[in-house]
Amino acid sequence: MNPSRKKIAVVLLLAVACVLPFLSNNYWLDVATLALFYVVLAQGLNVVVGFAGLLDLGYAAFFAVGAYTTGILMTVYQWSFWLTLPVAMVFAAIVGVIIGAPTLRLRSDYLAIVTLGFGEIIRILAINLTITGSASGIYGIPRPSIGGYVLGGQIDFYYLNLIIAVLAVVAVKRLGTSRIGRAWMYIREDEDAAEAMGINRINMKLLAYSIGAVIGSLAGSVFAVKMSAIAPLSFSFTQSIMILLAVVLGGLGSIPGVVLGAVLVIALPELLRSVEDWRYLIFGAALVAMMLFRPQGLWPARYEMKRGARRSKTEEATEGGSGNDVKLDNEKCNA
Amino acid sequence: MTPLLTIRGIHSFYGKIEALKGIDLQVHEGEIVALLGSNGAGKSTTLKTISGIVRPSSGDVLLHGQSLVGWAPHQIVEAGIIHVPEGRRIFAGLTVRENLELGGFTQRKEKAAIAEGIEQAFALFPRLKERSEQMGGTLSGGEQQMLAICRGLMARPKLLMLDEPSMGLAPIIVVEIMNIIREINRQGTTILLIEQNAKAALKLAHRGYVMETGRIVMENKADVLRADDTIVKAYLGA
Repeated sequence: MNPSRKKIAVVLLLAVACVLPFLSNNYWLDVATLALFYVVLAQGLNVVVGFAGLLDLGYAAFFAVGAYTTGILMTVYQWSFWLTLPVAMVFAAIVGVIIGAPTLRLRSDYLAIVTLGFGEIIRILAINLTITGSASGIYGIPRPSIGGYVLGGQIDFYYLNLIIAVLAVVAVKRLGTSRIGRAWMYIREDEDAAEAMGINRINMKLLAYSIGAVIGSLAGSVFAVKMSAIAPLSFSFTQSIMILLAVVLGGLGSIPGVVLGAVLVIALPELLRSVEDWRYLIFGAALVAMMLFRPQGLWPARYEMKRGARRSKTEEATEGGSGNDVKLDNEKCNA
Repeated sequence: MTPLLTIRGIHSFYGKIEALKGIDLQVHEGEIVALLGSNGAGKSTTLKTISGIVRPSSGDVLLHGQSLVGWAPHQIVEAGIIHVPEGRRIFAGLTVRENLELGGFTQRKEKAAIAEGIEQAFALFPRLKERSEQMGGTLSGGEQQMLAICRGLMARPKLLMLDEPSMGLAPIIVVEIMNIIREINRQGTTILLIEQNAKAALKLAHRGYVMETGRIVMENKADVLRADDTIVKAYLGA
């Protein structure tokens, strides 16, 4: 796609997103709102996993930090929702650094285990602390208001989420093409070589965790006021995995891919409701097939560079193969 | 005149293993210095200690008389020492151009300097220009080595440290790489070179150090080392 056609596509997509509430029923509007939450979360995780290449299995922890910070400040201290946002972000950034610091020297599997551990710690803290309302969570979180207008309806939250999702996408896209984004890309490809070329490995990794955490917490804060009640159940390990799934399914490091992945992770199980008990089985099988035939994701980061025009499906399958070859070469170089 | 780089009594450990047992070494501005020795002699560890990847337990590394011990690797790069690691370590999944852009990472906002550096790299190695949009992993071994050297030059180093640039390359490519190293030196970059291929390295270098099991056992002008067959046979083989 050339740039101008790309712009038109983005504008069209946004226009559809804007009029969607008037075209769908409440049920699908709710699904769309949830999908937008996932777009924000997945973009945040995309910074950590896709850009910097740091596998994070506890991302829901940041979602929880945002939700609980907003929840507690609004119910216990009667803060306005908008004031809780910066506090939640700062909190999340600090938690991001706390989680990031011990993982700096770890790679792949070990990193995954440590992040998994942190995810569980946050969840178990939420279950056991009194300030977080222990297992029953926090309820009666007030609705946010702008001026005199209280955001209460489904449509209000849909638009609020849409705005935040657009902001997250723009922010992550700009980060990805910045100097920092390039530094992350080099760290992802070969950490030692990146360091030898003058990249501050420690700062860049902590920055990736913090930025990912800030975006995740933003989604959490909005989640708290939308649901008006939050409980530890929402921030389980499965939640972390579903967010990671959205990123991998769409294509690591690819902005449009991750948006697509997030929408699919939410929409597919809903679309499959007609087959009832079978739906998660089909969803799972689709994921397995997807990883076999398109391991680089539905819309990989290098989509436009690698392929010029449209190609047939068989060629797509072989491209998966050549992708593997490049990976092998990569391993050979690093050996 | 203070030398560009001075190393004084460096001891470095990997866990409990003492890899460097008191290294003293100097590199003067404008020189090519060869660091020779068999496998496990501590050559790569010496370079890693200079570039801050390995921290010495004692001793000092001085650049223009200023100590670099305790500095983070990225700060040492900004101070002007670039380490082109063994095995090239180019980014296989990024294009040639992106690989070069990384080399200019410390140049901060000076986009012109990066563009200029890339042009210089292409002038030095026209083959890289033809392949500027190709993935690094699709290059041949020799081209990857050229790319690694160019990537190092992008930061405009005062001292360029090359760890076995001839590794795994065909003899004819080795000659080409050696000529390029000489050319880079002529254009004003000081070079510290590690080589297994002692003869080729000594033909190129002004001075040489021979290492064995963590110590420097010999130091002299390159042509003296080269002329003495017994030295070459005893320590370097062939």
